[in-house]
Amino acid sequence: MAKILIIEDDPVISRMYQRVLKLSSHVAEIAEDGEVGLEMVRAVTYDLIVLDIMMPKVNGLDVLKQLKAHQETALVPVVILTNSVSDKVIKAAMAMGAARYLLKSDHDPMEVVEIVEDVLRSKKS
Amino acid sequence: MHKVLERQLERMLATGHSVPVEWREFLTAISDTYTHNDEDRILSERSLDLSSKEMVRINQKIQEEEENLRRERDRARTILASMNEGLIVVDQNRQVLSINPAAQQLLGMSSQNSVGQRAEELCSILANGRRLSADKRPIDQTLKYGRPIILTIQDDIGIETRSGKKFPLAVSTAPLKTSQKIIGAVVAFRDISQEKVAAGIVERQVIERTEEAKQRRAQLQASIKNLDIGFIMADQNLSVIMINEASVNILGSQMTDRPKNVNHKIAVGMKIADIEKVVKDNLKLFAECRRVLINQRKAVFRNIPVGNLYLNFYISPVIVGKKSIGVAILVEDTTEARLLERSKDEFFSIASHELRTPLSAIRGNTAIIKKFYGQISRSEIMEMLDDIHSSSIRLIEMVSDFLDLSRLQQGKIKFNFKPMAVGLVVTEVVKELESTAQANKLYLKFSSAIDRLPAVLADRDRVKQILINLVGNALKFTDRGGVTITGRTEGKFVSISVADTGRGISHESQRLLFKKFQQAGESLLTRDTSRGTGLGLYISKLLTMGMGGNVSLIKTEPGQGSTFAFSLPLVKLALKTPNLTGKKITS
Repeated sequence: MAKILIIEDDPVISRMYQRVLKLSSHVAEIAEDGEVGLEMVRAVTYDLIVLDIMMPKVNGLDVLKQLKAHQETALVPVVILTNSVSDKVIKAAMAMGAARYLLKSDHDPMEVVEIVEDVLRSKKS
Repeated sequence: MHKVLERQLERMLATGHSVPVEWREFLTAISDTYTHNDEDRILSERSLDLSSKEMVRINQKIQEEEENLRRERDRARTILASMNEGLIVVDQNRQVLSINPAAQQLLGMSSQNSVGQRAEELCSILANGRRLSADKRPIDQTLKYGRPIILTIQDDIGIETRSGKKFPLAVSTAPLKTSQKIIGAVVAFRDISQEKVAAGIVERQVIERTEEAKQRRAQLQASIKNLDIGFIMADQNLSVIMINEASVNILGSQMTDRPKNVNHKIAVGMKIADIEKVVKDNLKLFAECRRVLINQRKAVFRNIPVGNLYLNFYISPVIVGKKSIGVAILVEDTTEARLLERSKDEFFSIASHELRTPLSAIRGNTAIIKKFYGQISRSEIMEMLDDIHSSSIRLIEMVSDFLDLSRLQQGKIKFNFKPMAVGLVVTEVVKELESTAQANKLYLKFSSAIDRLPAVLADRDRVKQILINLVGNALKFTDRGGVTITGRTEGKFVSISVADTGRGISHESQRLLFKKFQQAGESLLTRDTSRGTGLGLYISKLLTMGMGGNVSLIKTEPGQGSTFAFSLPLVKLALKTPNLTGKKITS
């Protein structure tokens, strides 16, 4: 039963993951871009953040950088969920401390939930 | 002594008969005399013998010589007779001694009429058309000074015969000398009319060729002048001797301290070292030019950042014979190509992302419905079905774009040209996109004048596609206000404008606007949610061009909005243009 923030600009996608997380007994909130996401993260403590890369205004990597730069947010695990396949981006994200890097189209939403739960478990231990 | 007497004397002496002293003396004296005479006679006989032999030999020799001389004479005669050149021999008083057949023919005189005459009586010599006086004639000069004289086609010498015939002449005179005296002269001459004609032709050809060469050089200079590529030529001191406009534009635009109205701060006479100041530290232009000059090998320097641009420098030595007499530098602005390359990569990134997104939505939602069917409310299922549906439509649109593009580029699109009223299509599009506009609190309107526009010859479906692209873009990039569609006749075309009050388009983005891989310039990852492949404008351009019109950005102001317009040919014009229907599009 975790509190998860989904930072994703495409509403169709964000609703889908919110739905599947809800069906798996989690609570998921949506931020439609990086700026809003950072605001929400500062206001509320989340157990995990699901982060898209390609977004307007502030892109996912910058959001990740900012999250890790601040004490309060640095410890929240971040799962990158994107359709961006660039090696450069993957490397950068992992180097900045992302917990996982997932390609949306490679996984059914349920698999994503499993991975999220996996990350949550390993954080606990 | 005579042999008989000698024998007698011997017999007498031998017999010992006493010969009276007086007899002996007398005999001796006679004997001596005879002996002497004998000797003399023998000598004479011998010398006579020798002389006769000598005479015969000499005679023979004389005969041989005569024979030779006769042969030589005959040969000379033959040569003279068959010579094309006229040959005249004169003595020191200018009297003609002999004249060969060719000369006779040229002068129109027979041998009888000429031999014995004075040379000047045979013909007149003309120089530059005027008669030469006797002492100025070549023969006279040669006889006087004993020097050969040669006059050729260049000297413009002519001859006028007794019969009035005139022709241009080449003549050479040579003196005939004994050891000290001039005894005559030989004159050889010929008619050079043909040669003059040929020379005239050659001269004309030279003029023509020179003209051609001048023209080619002018063309070369013009093409160098009009080259997109910068061209600079410098001599061996690396002073600029030639520089085209493109160089001035490319390099000049990057000179930070350049006053606005001085275009030739970079100019002929400048040193390469000065140009280097523009390039600054990124390329030691002067040193590299020197190296090329010395090594006689060309050098290439790519992607040198110069101000806002990326430039390629190609430096080649100019070699004549074996020496380097200068360098030629080509300056290529690759900034746009690099942008295009980058945007190509970005395009594929964006394209793959854009295709994957609706696919993820379709896959994900169907998976959820399958797994959690019993646990989801009806309304939620409906929502998910909506999402699946809209995603698949989005996917289909994108794939259509790609396919359209592919076919357009291969020239396989066939247009269904029909006379049509643009107004009707505008109305349709506005109706379809109204809800999108309203959802974003934007207005979408069109001017009534559109209904009164004359008919155009175009493919209705494609016109709709173009309008949807332009209006869709306008709505996408507008946060406040709205989109207005207007139309008017412009010459032989109808022009439709789509004006928005949106974000406007930056200078850099404008460069790539109608190009294939549009969405470049800004950082790839911060692209806005345009939900597109960036192909729309490019496809619109190919479509309008395929229908005989064009699409362009009319104006844009960052923060204020943009206006795009596309044109289509009026029915009247289009029907007159034979190739319009089924036109192949080349991008």
